[in-house]
Amino acid sequence: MMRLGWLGCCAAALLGAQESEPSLAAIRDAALRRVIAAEVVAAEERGTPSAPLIEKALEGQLKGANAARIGEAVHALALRLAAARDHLRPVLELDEVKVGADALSAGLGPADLKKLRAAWPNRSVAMPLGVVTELVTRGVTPPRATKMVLDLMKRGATVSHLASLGSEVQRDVSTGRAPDAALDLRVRGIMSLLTPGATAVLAPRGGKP
Amino acid sequence: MREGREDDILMRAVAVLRPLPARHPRVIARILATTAGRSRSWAGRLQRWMTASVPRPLAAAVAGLTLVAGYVVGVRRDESTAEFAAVSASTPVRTVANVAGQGVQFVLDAPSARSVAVVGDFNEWSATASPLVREPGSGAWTTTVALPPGRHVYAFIVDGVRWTMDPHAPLAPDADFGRAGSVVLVPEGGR
Amino acid sequence: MNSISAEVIERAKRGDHQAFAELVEWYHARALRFARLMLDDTQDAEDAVQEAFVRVWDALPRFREGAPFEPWFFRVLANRCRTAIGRRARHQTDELPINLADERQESDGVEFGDEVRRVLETLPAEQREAFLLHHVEGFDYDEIAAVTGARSGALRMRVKRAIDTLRTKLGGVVNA
Repeated sequence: MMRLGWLGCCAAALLGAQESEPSLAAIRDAALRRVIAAEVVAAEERGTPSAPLIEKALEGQLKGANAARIGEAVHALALRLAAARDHLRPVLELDEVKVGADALSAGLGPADLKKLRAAWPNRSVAMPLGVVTELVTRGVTPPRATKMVLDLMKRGATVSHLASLGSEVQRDVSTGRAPDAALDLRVRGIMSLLTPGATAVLAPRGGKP
Repeated sequence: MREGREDDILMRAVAVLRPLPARHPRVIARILATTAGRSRSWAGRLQRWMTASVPRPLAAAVAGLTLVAGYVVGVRRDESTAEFAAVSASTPVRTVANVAGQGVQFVLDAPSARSVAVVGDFNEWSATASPLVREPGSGAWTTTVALPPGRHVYAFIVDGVRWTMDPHAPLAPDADFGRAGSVVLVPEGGR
Repeated sequence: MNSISAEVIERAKRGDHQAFAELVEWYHARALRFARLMLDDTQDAEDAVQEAFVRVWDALPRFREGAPFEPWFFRVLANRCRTAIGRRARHQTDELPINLADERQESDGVEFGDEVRRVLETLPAEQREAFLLHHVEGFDYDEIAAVTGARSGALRMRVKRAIDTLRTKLGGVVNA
């Protein structure tokens, strides 16, 4: 009995959505705290966001991972954050870097990140990156997910369009539709809203959606 | 008259100086990186003195000994933190993450639960930050969390020990720690 | 002004580094505010705050149980700031005051806040310290005496002189 649906968020609710700062004080093990603190110092000096590193450590702590594993995961994330920052230059907001690191983890390549940045040089690509990451996680290949989202971005899609693309493909896949077919179907739907007649440019893949 | 104006100047000057600076992660991290594991005993002070003033090979040996000791302590502690039991198949759950006008509503049907919390990247994976409240007369537990737009990973913790994914939401694999969660995509508001 | 719980301080005193981390979270913003206003240099202020907290960690076992923590903490921090000022005086000679004097002549239309900080910086360090501890950090004179080691009467005079200077120099800005 799913009650999942985008009923729209009022701006006031989102204004109240404060991202609290994760604290090193929440890490229970002193030796691990020292390791993560050193990663935070290095990240701050590189100019990459440090909050995701503490969050990752707290995630590992909650999930019962051992300190060595948590340290490795945090270090790997620090490297991904640095890489994402480099591929997304000029970075408009730190959230882009965080989502970019998730995208790299999901299998996107540097070129994918650069293309998304080039498509929206003056707007945050955090949402497009999140949607591509989600599509890849659902089984769409990274090049195809990137291309489809890029097409939408270039044709004037908003972040709300992209978010609905992600959630609708999620829903379709959960009901058994093939990921590529679900993506084609939903992209065509959004294209028809953006530019009437644009659906013709997208040939359907693999039979009826 | 003149006194009153001068007091006004003082009050304005103090008001300018009082605001606290923003939280400074680098400063905090430097302090904690320096002090964590820094012994306050005479042996610790001796070690710091030696690493600062004795030839490098000896200093490295002392430091290595400390690291080994720290590692053993760390491993012991970690073994005691395996907190969550596997999800019990005998307890059916219904979970919903619903983006509504007030943020994202998380709902979990767990009639026999004594407590439920939602954890995720939005609350620093804290098992105490976002508890769900039981709806009167039903087995449903709910809470609404204001989330920024984007992709968020979450899970429920039932009775403080049971890690519970949302069976109706997409799965978020976890390559780092091997305990998958669920995904919610929050659209940007007002657009 | 809220204070951190005595239980957290007691745990940190016993060597619980997680409690010390909470203490750092709690006080670092106030410490940075004080150090920045004392030193007028972000990097020097961060260094002083870091040194102060490291010393606090080392010295906590000797902190008397039940004693007020904040004056003790600010005593350590104020000492680090004084050391930094002394270090700067030895290494930077008189460059800073000359530059400041030049800037002040060109300060027409400058923000009131910038002017406040600029005037604050011209105060003798002991006046600046007493003024900040009393009017910004909210300590009473007995507590400042515990922080600085100076007598209450002398501290009142330092604060009065600081206020007189601020009033005189800022009065011109307000009238302009």
